[in-house]
Amino acid sequence: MTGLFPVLMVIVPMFTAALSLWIGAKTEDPAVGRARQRALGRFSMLALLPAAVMMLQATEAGEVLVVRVGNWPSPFAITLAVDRLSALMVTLTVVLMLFVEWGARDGAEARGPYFHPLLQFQLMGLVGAFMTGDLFNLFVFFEILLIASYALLLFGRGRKRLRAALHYIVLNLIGSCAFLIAVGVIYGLLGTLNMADLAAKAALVPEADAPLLHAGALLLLLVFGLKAAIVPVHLWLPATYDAPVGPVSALFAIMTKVGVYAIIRVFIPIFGPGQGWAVGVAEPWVLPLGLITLVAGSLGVLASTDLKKMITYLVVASVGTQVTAVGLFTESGLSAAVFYIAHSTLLTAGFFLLADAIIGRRGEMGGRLSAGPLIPHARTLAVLYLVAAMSTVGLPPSSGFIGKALILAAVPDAWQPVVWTVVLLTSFALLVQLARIGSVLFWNISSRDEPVPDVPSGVRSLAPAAGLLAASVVLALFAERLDVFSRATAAQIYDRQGYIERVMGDATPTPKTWEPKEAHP
Amino acid sequence: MMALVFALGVGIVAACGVYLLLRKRTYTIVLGLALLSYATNLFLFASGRLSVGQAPIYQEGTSTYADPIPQALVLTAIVIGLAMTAFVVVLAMVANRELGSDHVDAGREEDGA
Repeated sequence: MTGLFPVLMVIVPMFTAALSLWIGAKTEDPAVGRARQRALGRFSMLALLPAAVMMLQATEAGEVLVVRVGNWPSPFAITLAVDRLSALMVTLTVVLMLFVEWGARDGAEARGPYFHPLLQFQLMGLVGAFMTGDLFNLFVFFEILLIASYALLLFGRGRKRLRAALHYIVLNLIGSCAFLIAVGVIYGLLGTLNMADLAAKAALVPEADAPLLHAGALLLLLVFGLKAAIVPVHLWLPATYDAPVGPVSALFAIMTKVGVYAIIRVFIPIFGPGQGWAVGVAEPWVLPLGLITLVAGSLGVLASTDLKKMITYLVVASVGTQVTAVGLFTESGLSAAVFYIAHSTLLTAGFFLLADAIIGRRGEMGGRLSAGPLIPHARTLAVLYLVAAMSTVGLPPSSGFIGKALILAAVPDAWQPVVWTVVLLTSFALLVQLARIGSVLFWNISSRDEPVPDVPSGVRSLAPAAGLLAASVVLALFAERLDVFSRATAAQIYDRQGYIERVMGDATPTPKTWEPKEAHP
Repeated sequence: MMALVFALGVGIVAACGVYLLLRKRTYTIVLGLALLSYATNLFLFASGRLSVGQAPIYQEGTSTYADPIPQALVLTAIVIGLAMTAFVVVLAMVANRELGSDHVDAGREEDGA
C-alpha cells in the first residue's frame, strides 16, 4: 500500500507546480488566478499529508520503504529509501508548507505571480532530498530546492532582496562545485554512489586511499555545513533569512535542517564508527563547530537591534544546538537531535510568522527594537510571543525545555563540563535578550495612537503563526511519544547492517570488481 | 602523461575560476563561477579514469570498458550548471540596473543595511 508513496511525494508537487503555472497563465484576473493556484496547492498538499503520515506509521513499525527507480537491482537503480528519519522530515516539511501557504494568504502571495508554483517546486526538492538514497541524487534535489529558494528569496523584489540573493546564490553555486568534487573523489575510490552500498564499501578502503577518502568526506562536511549554516560558513544566513517576505522566512526554517539531515545521513552510516580507515572522519570537527556556532548565534541575538534579524541569529543558535547533539556521535545524542529538529522547525517558522505580524503592525517602526507605537491585538501577540520565547529559551514546560534537557542528558561525562556550560550560558543569554525584546515591543510605548496596519487585517490573520506555535506546544504534550520515536530513529541510523540489508534487498553489496584502470599512454 | 596534462589543465582552470570569484564585480564573478564549474565537470569526468577509444556499454568481444557513470553524472551536472549560470547572469543584470552598480555590495550604505 505504502510502496509507491515515496515516488508520489516527489511527482505530485512537480505536476501541481506545472499545472499551477498553467492556471496562472490562463487566468485573466491575477487575483482569481492566485485563488485558483492556492486552492490547487492546498488540495495537493492536503492529499500528500495522509500519505506522509502513513509512511511515518509504516516506518515506525520498523519498515524501510525502498523504491528502486526503473526496478533495476540495487545498487544500479537510483534508490529512494524512506526510513524513520526520512519519514519524519517529510511529514514536517508538508505540515510546515501548509502553514506557510496559509500564512502567505494575507498579502505576501500577491506581490508576484508565481508564489504557489514556486512553493510546490520547493516542496518537491525538499522531500526528494529527505528521501533519496543516492549521493548524486541528493545533489540533484539540493539544486531543485535551491533554485526554488533563490526565486522565493527574490519574491516581492526590492534592493535588499536582490543583494541578499546575489550573495546567497554565488555561495551556493560554489558549494555545488565542492559537492560535485566530493562526489567525484568518493566515486573514484569506491565505485558507487548508492548510500547503502557506500556504507558497505567504505570500510574496505585500503590504507593508501584513506587520505583521499578523508578529503572527499570532509569536503562533503563543508558543503553540508554551508547548507546548515555552521561556523565558519554561516555568515550568509542572517542577511538571507532577513530579506524575504515573512512566510518565505518561515519556510526557510526547514532549509538549514536539510544540511543537518545530510550530515546525519552521511557521517554516521557511511563514514561513522567501525568503518575501517574511513572511521569517524567528521568526529573531531562536528562537536566543536556546533558549540562555536551556538555561541556565535547567541552573540548575534544579543547584538541585534531588529526583531527579524534577531530571529535569524536564533536560527544560527538552533543549528548550533542540533549540530552539537549530532556531534556527540552517540545514539542518545542523535535521538535528542532528532527531537530538537522537529521542535525547532515548527517553532522557528512560527516565530518568523509572528515577527512578520508584529512588524506589519508597528507602522514605520518596523522591526526596530526601540520604543514604538501601541500595536493592535497587543494582548494576543504578547501571549504568542511569550510561548515562542519560552520555547526558544527552553523554559519548562515547553518543548524547547524537553529538547535541551534530552541533549544535556545525552552528553557523555568527558564532554559534560564544556557542553553543559555552553548550552546553559547561551540559553541564559537568549532568556535575557528575549525578555528585553518582549518588554520593548509590548510595554515601551512612545505614543498611544494605534497606527493603521497596512498589511494584515483582523486578529484572524494571526492564526497561522498561532497554529505553528500551538504545534510546538502539542510536541511538548506528546513529548514521550516523540521521544520513543526519535530513540527508534537513532537506533535505526546506527544500525548500519540493517539499513544495508533493507536497501540492497536480495543483492548483496557488489563485490569490488571494479578496478582502477591505467590510463593509456 | 595524459593524466598529468589533464590534472594540470583542471588545476589551472579551477585556479583561474577561484581568482575571478574573489573579484568585487558581478561580471567577473559570473565568469569565475563558469570556469569553476568547467573545472568541476572535468574533474568529475576524470573520476571514471581516463581512457581512450573504449566501449562505454556492452559490446561483444570487448573486455575493457570506459566507466559510463561519470559521463552520465557530468551530463546532469552540465545541464544544472547551465541553468544556474543563466539564472545568476540575469540576476546580476537586474542587480546592476536596480542597485545602480555592479559591485557585489552595491547600495549597502544608502540602504543602511
